Amino acid sequence: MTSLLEAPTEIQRTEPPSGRRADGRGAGRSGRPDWTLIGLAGVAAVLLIGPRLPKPVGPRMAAAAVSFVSLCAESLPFLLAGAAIAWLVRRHGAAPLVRAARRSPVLAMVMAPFMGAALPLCDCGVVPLARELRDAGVPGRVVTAFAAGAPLTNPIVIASTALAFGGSGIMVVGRIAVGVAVALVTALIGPPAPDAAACPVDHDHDGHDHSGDGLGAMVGAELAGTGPALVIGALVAGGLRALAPAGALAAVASQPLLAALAMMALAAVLSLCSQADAFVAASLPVGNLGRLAFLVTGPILSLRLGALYRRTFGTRWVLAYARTAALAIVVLSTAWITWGLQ
Amino acid sequence: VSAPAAPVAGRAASRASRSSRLVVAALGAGLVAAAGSGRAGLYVRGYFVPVLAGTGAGLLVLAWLRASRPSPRAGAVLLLPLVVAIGIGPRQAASVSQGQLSGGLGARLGDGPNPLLAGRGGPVTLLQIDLAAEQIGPVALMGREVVVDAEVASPSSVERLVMVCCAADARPVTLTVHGAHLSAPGNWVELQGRLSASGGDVALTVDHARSIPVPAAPIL
Repeated sequence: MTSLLEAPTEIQRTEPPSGRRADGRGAGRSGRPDWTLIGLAGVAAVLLIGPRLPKPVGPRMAAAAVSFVSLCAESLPFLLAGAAIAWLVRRHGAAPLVRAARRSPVLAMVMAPFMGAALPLCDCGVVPLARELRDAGVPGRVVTAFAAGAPLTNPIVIASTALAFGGSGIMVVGRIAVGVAVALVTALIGPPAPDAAACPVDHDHDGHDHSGDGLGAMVGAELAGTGPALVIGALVAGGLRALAPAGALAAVASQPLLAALAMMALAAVLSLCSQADAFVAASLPVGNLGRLAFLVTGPILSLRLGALYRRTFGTRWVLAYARTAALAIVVLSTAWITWGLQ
Repeated sequence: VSAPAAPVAGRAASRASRSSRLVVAALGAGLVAAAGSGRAGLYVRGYFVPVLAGTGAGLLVLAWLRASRPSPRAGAVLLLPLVVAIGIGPRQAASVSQGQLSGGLGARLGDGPNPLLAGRGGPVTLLQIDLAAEQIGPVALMGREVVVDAEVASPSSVERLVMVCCAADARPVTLTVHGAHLSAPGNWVELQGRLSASGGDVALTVDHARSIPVPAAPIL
């Protein structure tokens, strides 16, 4: 599964036109099998044949297949809409935000998580912007607050969360409130984003193919870059949703804190787009604390983001950031479910 | 490096570009076809189908503009849900096991008025019966004549899966049935009868039952 989850990241790098990687791994005119494609063919065969098997296997496989396709169908429009809006904002609204952050760093740090409302970018789209802010001289703590919080105040994320949870205040407001609080706590007591001098030279691995500045190029890059990650995430989620032992899930769900930790780990592994993960969270058989932890963790602390952050800010920063953010998510999510809006 | 390497690389690049365009076009055409044929109703709610059609049209434009260039591996991953969707029919979707999710259903975005809440009967869904019983109580529904399509769950009950956003969150709504010998579980029936109250829950006393094929959109 690790190789599958990593596949979309590999995709973004410059590859020979044949689809083979420069290091020789990959498809095979060299005669070596492409295990990614073979694995995908196997998965497709299982999902097509499995639902036709008798009970009890057939219905579970049908659930996996239907969940997988449903999640992809429901999430893809949000993903592409996010890219289209991001193009509009990048083209017309980024410069004033950079100027404001330079004028007042403290105020900027407090306001940074809310910039998602004006810069509606998904978590992967925030990474290059955070790097640009850092390179423009914005203080590191402002950059951290922006990177962690902006994906959670994105209007599309809020709208998709409201849609997935039927407008439930405890989840919709909770995702924003806890997400912003986690971003501020992480920026305050966690590591500030390192300055440009510590930046790796190679930036051509941020998950997007910046092959053009047009709307089509932006949306197309999102499809080619984040689309496969979404498909893999939906596949894992669908499989887990349908195939995980009901007893084990019920045991986790019955212990809220354990459920929260399990859902945080799940969110980190799935690495779903923040504009679409609410639909997965809504289908998870756990309580509100687990779902909220899942919703807040994904845009802040996923494996996919970790890879992007590591390339941008370095391994040491990523580890310190993950430690601080994970602790903050557990504490603040629990506080919200216990004392927050009911 | 020998001179012929450049043309070979050029041809390879051209092939890769063409295949990536085909992937994006296939994805777009698949979404448009799913929306137009009603197949999308297996996976998402009705109000979302136009969104899928628009997304598909957008992807076709992207393919035409050559704006998206997924690598072969990325293209294969992107096409996986399309391949699976083509191979899954209503019967497989209707057989989905959702044992881990239950309850928690309420009025949904995009639902029309509930005839049972307006004092009427006629063709209704299991969800409308469930919501009406929850809002005004089973006793208020007693004697109401209804017609309902559902899957046989047991000799004395029928059920239907209901989704809130997409089929990934589908969960079953069950109705107890009296006065009819239902066919084997998994078969679909159209039941005509009168609602009654049974032990604090709503039930259906069947006057007429007939077998029907699996509906095009088995998950409400």
